[in-house]
Amino acid sequence: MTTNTHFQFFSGKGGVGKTSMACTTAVREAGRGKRTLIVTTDPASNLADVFEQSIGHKVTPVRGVSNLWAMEIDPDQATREYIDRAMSPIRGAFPAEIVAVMEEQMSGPCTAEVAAFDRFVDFIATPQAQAPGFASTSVTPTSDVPTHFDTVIFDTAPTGHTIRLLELPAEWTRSIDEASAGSGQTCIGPAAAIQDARHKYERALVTMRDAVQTSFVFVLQPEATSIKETQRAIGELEKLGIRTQRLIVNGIIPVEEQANALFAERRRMQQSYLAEIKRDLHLPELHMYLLDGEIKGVARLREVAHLLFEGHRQHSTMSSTESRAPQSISATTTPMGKISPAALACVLPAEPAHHTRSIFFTGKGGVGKTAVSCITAVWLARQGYKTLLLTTDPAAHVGDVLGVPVTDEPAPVHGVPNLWATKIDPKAAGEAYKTRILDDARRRGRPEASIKVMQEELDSPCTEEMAAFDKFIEYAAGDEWQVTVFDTAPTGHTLRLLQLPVEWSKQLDITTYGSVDTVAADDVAKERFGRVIAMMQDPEQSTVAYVMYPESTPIVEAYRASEELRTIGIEPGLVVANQVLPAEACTTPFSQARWNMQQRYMLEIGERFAVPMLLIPLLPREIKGVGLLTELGEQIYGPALAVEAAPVAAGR
Amino acid sequence: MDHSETVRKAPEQVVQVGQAAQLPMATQVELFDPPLCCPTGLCGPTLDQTLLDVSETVQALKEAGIGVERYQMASHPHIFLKHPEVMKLVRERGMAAFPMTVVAGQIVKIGAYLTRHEMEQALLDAKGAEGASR
Repeated sequence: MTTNTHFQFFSGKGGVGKTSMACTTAVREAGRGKRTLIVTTDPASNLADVFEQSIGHKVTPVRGVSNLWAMEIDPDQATREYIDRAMSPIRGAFPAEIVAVMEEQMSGPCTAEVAAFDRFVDFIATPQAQAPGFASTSVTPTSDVPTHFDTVIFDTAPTGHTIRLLELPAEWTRSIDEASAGSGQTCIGPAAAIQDARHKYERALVTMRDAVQTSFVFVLQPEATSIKETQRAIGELEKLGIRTQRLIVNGIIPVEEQANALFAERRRMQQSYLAEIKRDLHLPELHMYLLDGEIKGVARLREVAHLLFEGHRQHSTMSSTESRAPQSISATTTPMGKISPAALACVLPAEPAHHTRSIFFTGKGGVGKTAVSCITAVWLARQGYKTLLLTTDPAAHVGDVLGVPVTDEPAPVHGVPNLWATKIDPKAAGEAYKTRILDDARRRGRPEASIKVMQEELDSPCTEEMAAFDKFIEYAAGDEWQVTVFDTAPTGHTLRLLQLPVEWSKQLDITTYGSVDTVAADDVAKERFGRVIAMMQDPEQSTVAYVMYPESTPIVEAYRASEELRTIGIEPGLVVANQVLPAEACTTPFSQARWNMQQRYMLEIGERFAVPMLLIPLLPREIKGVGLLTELGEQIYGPALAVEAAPVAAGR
Repeated sequence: MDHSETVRKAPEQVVQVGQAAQLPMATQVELFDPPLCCPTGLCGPTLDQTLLDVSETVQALKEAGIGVERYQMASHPHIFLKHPEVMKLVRERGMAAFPMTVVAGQIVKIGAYLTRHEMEQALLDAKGAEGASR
């Protein structure tokens, strides 16, 4: 029974402090005597780092906090469990050869998403450990795991895209039931394998829509991109009938730090955004101030909970939001040292420039991948290279940073010769893919009834992913540009994207049934995937650059990602340390404490990644506009180089 | 053919449906699919026109009032297990047995799908056999 359990979802743009705030809330709830479970659905989870203990894919008691348990949903293990459940009636009854093929097929890219999601739904629809069908999973009650929780906290709420999965089975069943309609198949891929899933999904959706049982909390920072993304996500949830109840505004610079020029400048910027949050989002807010160190360990979490819920600091009423941002950043920052030739070689096309270079900026959400991508692309274009800046982040804000609209067709960036920008919008790509397939079917003379069936099947989250991936391959395999800078989505998504060519290649290998023209099409697809894989593995052609703050979790996450990509032969090329405090700006004990912390982590970055490092200073304001991007590019990569770039073809 | 009735849905399709009054939607055609992501194969990395043809045929048969079912091992293992002949072929030939088409309880084709024309013929044959045995 779910009736007594309260669910709290923590959502928000990456890097805003979702995990910290979710853990803080969990410690708080447990402290109030509520049996609390915190679950993360983030494939690159940091729960273990925050609680300083191993957790993993099982409900684990948190040491030092009674009433608190934690679990990190591991997508790989969730997939295995999911396959096990689906395969249990089949193993034994069917020949080993067939069982093996089915298992391979179920290990395809679609299953991972469905499985992790399914596992997550288990907590909402059947939080009781002894719920039917649960016996084989890791929530089997043991002596130290309760069978009922008063509060279940989800660090990383599902996005609209994932929640859409909840709706599908209902629609799917409905149309099957409508015998007269006759068609009614929505491809939910391997989700179809588990017949009772739909009841579970229906219950989950009802629970999530019920504001008494469930609350959605958005964590954000007083910054333009964070606000924009929060607004968009709240709207997306509303369309699905889910209301957001509360905001936590995190990372506010304390009023005392106005003594520090750099922080004072940033604080002024924040104050205007705080006013914007109040005005545009008008939801109840909790404020959390920037601390002089990281939020790690139970003792620290208790302290932070006190700060968050009792708010010892008075919310400042300072209203000086008049913009007096300096015209040049050099007023408050100084160059961070000369770039090494090795680092430079990672971003320039290999000589002779007959190869193109692809640079993939990846890392934890919110670490500044977009800013770094823009700085790099603008700089490269100014060196004379024909450059494409491409974002694969569905919540792209490249356009905001560049100050020009960016669409799903490459377009020249005004004010920067040689630079083009575009984004892969999964929705638009999905629509285009659908249209292409349906047009093709009409051309082949398929009747409208069958077009309708196809349309329904294509109306699946897999289609968007497939289509976005197809676009990615198109750009990655192309040679129209001398340099392509990929501003990627946060680590988890990017890993999937970069691994997909390998996974789809495998799927094509095990295709069990295919007509002659399909076999030919498969070969073409495989050849294309193979080229992209080879390109990504070649350091002369590709650079994977990991962007991070000099702080524990972004480093750990980037490191894990680099290890994972290593397994498919993609070595890290570059690390970028962003928001580094310049020593001379640290004039207060607070800023010095943060500086010390950063220096420790800079050493750690050097030890973990034996690759060249780029430093980007913490700036008094947001990185925006071609002027600032140009200035920063020269500060980071050096002034205009004497590059003998191949003459750029006029136009496109 | 005394007990049969002729269902006219589309002019190009004249399909005999036996004892429709008694068993209005009796399953006459059963397709045992090879492991597929989804019945049209639309969600895979490449498109298979044959699978689209099959889905179209199924559609047309249903519109003509003929009971058609498609089974996948992952979602309908029990149907496979209930069918000894199907399981025999699965064990003997493995993957090569798929796809299998069963019309009126008889396996009519293995290793490939029937075309629309073959399907109509198979239904007529089945009807004929039924009439003959009476």
